[in-house]
Amino acid sequence: MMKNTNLQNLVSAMASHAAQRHAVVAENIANSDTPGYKAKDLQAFSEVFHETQMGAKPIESGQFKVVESSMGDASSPNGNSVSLEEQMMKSAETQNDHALALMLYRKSLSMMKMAVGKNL
Amino acid sequence: MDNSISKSMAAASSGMNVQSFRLRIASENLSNTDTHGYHRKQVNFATEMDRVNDMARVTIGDVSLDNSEGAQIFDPASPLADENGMVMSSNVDMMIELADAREAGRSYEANLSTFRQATQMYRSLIDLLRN
Repeated sequence: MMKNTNLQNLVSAMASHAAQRHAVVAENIANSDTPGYKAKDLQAFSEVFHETQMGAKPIESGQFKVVESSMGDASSPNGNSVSLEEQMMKSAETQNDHALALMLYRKSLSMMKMAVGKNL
Repeated sequence: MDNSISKSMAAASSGMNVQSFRLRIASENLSNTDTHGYHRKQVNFATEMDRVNDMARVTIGDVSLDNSEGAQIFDPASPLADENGMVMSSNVDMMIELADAREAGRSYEANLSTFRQATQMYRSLIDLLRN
C-alpha cells in the first residue's frame, strides 16, 4: 500500500514535470522571432529524481528549475537562439511523457482496485 | 497540475496573436506596393514578463517605418511628380514581404500546434476522472 502511494506521488510529479516543461517550450516557440531571446528548458526529470535520493524523498512539483537550453545552436543575427524544429520535437516529447505518466497513474489505480476487490 | 497547462496555452496564444499581426502588416505592405511614396512598415517583437503567471509572453514592441528611399520612376502625370517628372515609388520589395508572410504563417502554425498539444494534455488529464 505504501509502495503504491509512493508510485503515485512519483507519477504525478512526472506529469507535473511534463506540463511545466511544455509551458517552457511554448514560451520558446512564442518567442521564436523575438530579438535577443535565449531558449530555455526545464531540468531533466531524472536529475531531480537523483537529487531526491532515487525517490526516497517526495518530489515537490515546484522544485524543477528552469535552465538555459543546452542544445541551443548558434544564435541567429538578431541574438535569438530558438530553433523551431528542436522546440517542436521537445514539445512532442513532453506530450508523450505526460501521456506515459497518466497511463502509469491509471494502471496503478487499477492495480489498487484489483487488490481491494470488485465489490467494494 | 497547478497552472502550467494554462501557462503554455497563454504563451501559445500570445504567439499566435503576434504572428497574425505580423501577417497583417506584411499584407498591408504588399497591397501598397504600387502606392507612390509609401514606406514599408516593420514589426518589432518584444518579450513581456507576465508576473501573474510568471512567464515570458511575446508582444508587439513597436511598428516602425523603413525610411530607405524607393526607386525614382518617371511619371509626369502623377500629382507627386517633381519638376523633372520623377516620382519616388514605394520601397516595398515583394519578395521580402512574401518571405515575411510565409515565415509568420509557419510560426503561427507552430504556436497552434503547441496550443493543440496543451488542450490534448488537459483533456487526457480530465479523462482520468472519467472512469
